[in-house]
Amino acid sequence: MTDIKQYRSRLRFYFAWDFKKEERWLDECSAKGEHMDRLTLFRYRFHRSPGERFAYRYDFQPFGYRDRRFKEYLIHFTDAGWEYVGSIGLWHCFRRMHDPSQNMELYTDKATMKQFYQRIQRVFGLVLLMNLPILAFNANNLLTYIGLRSFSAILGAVVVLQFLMILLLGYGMIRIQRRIGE
Amino acid sequence: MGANKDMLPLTEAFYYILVALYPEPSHGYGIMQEVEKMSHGRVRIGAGTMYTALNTLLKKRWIDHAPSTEDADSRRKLYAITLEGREVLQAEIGRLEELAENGRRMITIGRTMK
Repeated sequence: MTDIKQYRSRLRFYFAWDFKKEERWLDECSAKGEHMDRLTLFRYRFHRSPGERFAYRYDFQPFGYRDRRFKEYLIHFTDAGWEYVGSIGLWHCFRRMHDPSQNMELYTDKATMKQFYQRIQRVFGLVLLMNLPILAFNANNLLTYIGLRSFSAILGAVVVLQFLMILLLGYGMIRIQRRIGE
Repeated sequence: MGANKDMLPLTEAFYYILVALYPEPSHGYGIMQEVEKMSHGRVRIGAGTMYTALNTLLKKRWIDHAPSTEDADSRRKLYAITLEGREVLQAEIGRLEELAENGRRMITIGRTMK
């Protein structure tokens, strides 16, 4: 008996706060027979199997898959019928057979959904805050250089990138804040 | 008891988790099944909601970890309702009874006035 699985790798860029859009896209791919079964940052692996259909969901926890809490956390999900697909940092991806008669959401009430979004907010906020003093330090150094009528291209690039990252994190927090308000 | 009143109303998930744990300790999946059975399939607590709600209830000290029994699967954590959890639940049941009673009474009055 030979069972050759067909795999296909796809590169895809997305922002963490668009995870609901990602779930929808993965669901649509699965409906067409392309099922994501491995994920790394910006790269998905799909296997082809027409006739099957999965529902994909992302969860966010303050711990990664190496944490000691993860094992116990995972049991809650596998017991409930979810298959663990993989993790990217603090994001954990699950899937289960699509069933239109069942609620396919991980969060089934407003209170815990709000807590879920607040967990994301907290980590975004923390990373943002940690970056501020480093940015201030780098920017100060850059200004000193400029004061000495010279310029460090590397330092300039670092400051610009860091500034952009802080803006992105802030933007992400606003996007998630809007979701909480919905 | 007075302090408990500030915590009310409970969310449906909180309420049903406490109710399910009232007779004996159970694990997440056991609670999930019990709640579904009690509500005749109406209330299905999602895995993310269950995990989050259990952690919140632990923080509030309305439930606690229970030592696992011999027959229970040791990988699964058992949860038990605390004395405080029982008090909160009793207060909530009292509140819900008042709500239902008043609703029913006013509907009856409304009918006789027609």
